[in-house]
Amino acid sequence: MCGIAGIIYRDESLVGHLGADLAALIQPLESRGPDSSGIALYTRPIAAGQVKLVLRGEAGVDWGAVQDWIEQAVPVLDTHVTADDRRFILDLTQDLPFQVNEFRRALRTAFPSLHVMSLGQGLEIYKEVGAVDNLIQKYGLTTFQGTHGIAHTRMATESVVDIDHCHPFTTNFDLAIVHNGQISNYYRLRFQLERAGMVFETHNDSETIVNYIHYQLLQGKSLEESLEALLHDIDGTYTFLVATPDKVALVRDKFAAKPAVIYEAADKVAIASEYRSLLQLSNFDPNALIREPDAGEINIWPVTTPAQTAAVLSVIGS
Amino acid sequence: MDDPILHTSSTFNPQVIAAIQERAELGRYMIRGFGAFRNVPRLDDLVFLTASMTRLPLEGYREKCDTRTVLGTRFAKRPMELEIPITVAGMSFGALSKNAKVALGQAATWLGTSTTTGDGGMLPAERDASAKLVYQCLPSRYGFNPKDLKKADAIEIVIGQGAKPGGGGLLMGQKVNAVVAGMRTLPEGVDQRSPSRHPDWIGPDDLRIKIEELREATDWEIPIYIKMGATRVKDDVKLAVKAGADVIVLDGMEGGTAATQSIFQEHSGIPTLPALVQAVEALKEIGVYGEVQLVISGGIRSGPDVAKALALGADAVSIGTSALIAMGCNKPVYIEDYQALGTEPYHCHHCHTGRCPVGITTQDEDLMARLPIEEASTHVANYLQSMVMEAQSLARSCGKSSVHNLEREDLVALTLEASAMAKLPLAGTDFILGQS
Amino acid sequence: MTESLILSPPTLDCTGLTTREINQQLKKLAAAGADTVDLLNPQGRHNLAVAIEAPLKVRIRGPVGYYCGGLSEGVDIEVDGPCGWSVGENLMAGRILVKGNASACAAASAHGGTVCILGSAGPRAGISLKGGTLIVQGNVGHSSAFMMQAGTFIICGDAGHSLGDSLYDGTIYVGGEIASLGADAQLAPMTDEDNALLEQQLSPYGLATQDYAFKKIVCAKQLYHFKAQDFSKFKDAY
Repeated sequence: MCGIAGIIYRDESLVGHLGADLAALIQPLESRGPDSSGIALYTRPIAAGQVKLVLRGEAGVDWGAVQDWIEQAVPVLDTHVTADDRRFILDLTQDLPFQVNEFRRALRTAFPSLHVMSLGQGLEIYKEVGAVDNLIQKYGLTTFQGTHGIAHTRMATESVVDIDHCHPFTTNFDLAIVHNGQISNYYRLRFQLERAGMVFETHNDSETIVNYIHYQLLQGKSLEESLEALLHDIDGTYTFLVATPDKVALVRDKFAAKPAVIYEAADKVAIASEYRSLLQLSNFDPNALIREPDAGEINIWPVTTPAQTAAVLSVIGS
Repeated sequence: MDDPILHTSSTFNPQVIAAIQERAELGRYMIRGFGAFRNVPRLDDLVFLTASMTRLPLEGYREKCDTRTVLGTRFAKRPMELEIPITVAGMSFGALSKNAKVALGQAATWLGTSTTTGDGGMLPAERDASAKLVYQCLPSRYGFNPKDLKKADAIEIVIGQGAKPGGGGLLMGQKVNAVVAGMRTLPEGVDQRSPSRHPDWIGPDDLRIKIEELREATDWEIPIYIKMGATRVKDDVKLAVKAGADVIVLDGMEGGTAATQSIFQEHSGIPTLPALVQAVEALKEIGVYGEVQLVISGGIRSGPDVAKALALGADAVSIGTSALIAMGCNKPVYIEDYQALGTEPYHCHHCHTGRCPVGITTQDEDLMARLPIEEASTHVANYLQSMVMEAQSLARSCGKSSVHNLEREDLVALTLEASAMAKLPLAGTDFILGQS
Repeated sequence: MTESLILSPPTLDCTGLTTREINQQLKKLAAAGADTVDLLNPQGRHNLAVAIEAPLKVRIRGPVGYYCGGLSEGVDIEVDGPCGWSVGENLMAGRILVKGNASACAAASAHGGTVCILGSAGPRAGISLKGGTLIVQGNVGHSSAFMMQAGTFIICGDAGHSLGDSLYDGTIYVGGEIASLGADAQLAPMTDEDNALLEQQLSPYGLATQDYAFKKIVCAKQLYHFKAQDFSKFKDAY
């Protein structure tokens, strides 16, 4: 069980606060999730045809070999070092075959001590085990920028505590989720999704949610349609946030078992497991609309900050 | 043929046939008291490697064997200090008669151990009789109140019990008399269906906040136990620790109940032996073994059971059914009353009917009168003392001057099942099923 | 903390204090015979004013988290803002007034006193209610009054699905729409006594009975004892 949080800015001038705001939201939620924490944030998209790959390596990873391996698959335009992570900008404009799942699988087979954190034009994911402060300090989280993001603190239920099993989970370009609850038909769903070609990299039940949504999107469904179907198909308890480049959705199961509070102000939308987190936001507006989602309710917010394409090297952390 | 051979189906044996026909009459699941009837691997399947040449046994009587037990050292200012490593489990006034509750309290006080309230609140006579009383916080919250909370020596948050993990309790209408109904704020005579979840929190992250509330209400003085039925033991124990428990109370599937659906007793949860082993592993894995204490229950009947549980890593055991048996449950007296229930002594599990022939699980004044408090107290105290002496004897024979110094390595398994579940070598071999 | 932080008239600023220290101070003030204390900057904190057994008036100037006023007896709490889960949990006597919305499980298993929410309440409001009065001026979420055992639950607005499911006893009044009634809950005719009771309970909070078309819900008592051959009910109720 866990703490979850999310931010969507409605004011262009706030994008510099994303890391600090997400950190402020999840710090009080550490008591709900002492095992690990993580964030998924969306910068302005990089250039068309390019994609960011964030990798986490355990001690002793031969980053030179990793770089060579990636370059054999796809041209690398930039490499950036943050703590134990490497962020690569890959060039996909050259009409090379590039399948996300295939690439992830091949990379992990070649380098078992690597963790593929995220792939996308805007998405970057950073995770750390232990206290929230470990994450904030390690990555200098408070300097991170972006238009929207989601974050998580984890109290592990049925799977191990390690980097792979930390939230957020992602399976596709620019798709990420954070979940509080326990999926009670996890193994049945996983079997069906794997049979349909989806790839699971962990034993965390929350990975089912992102894989399920990914699968529905591949079938041509909209995010809205995918989440409607999910409410019917995924059993158990869940309040989760799902993010894409242009939307953030909050979904609560039909039992309304796990908490969430929504804050909607002129300049931003924020969501957190507990109200006290929201009070930590910069420019907290006491007149903002505060509400809680009903059982079985899906809330979807568009990301309305202008999505201007920025130069490759101006993405966060540079 | 004069003497035909009778064939019996294993699939549709007489018990199965009777059960189908009973449900065909009733139109509902069957309800009964007691724990699982089926045979499961248990502590009996282990034996001690007592001292011989490599180790020296201690002498009885002259060389003391300590039994003192402390529970709840993690956060509480006032941990539960017990003279013996055997506690009395939560059993409600309502399921049990007043005399039975008072007798348990009295016996525990004589032996320096604790008793536990149950679903239905704190009976004043029980508080008076029991010097160390654990106050249960159950999903139903019947009779739960801050005044009694402040009189408690520890709090036990009940998530579930071994007889019915994940299921709620039942108290049939015939046991809900005026006194019981009053304590539980229920209409008299109603079939009481207890909820399976707590009303004010859902999940361990919210339980952590609930625990802070209870600590604030008791000024962080007394320990908070979390009691669970044994299912996904490793994960559940870790979550209970993260939620803030001082003590984990784990109840295996042999654990009893006054009334639940028999399907829960027979088909849910895991036996006490593997549950204990997994709980100790879980505590070790997250680095709190010794800091968070473990109490194991479910089918504990003897000193050897106690000694083996401690050797496997428990800090204490808890008994329920066996304490009731000590005071006369299933005793061959009032045989016609057993027969009126359609049963016989040694076979009775009719706690749910409220017609207990020996006056333990009843609210009927005449039946309760068959259980004089002094005699019942004495029997329970004698039984507790005998178990402690047995556990000490085994500990001394293993060369230990404290029962808490018994170790896993003092045990071996007699059966393959016990070897696999306890992760101990089969006696006389180096073979551990599933590991070797 | 130091005594100097207690100003006169009693004001307690939560900033920089642990919940432990705040509650200790409240208990100290109650023991010293203070009749009112203002709690500043609660910042959505959990477990404020828990287990206060005195007629102390605690005015909380801001939002609170879970379990505000839980396990209290005789306290008089006002919250200027929203509150988290299980406000007034297991309240025995006294009053808790929330001038905002309440999250899930408001007044869970309360045995007495009054919990009044001037906004709306989330799911499972009045769950396992064992006495006293719960008033919600706005709406309540699903499964409210689940397994309610006694007391009075007044909802001026709308009620979510499964209102009063598996209730044993007590009375529920709903001024707005009911999404659906739970197992064994049924409508009953309003009487003059009901209207008088509503008037008496609502008027202290400036609420007028005549502004709402109250319906009354009570236990149908069909689940009190199992009945064979009742194929419609028990599968979903037991």
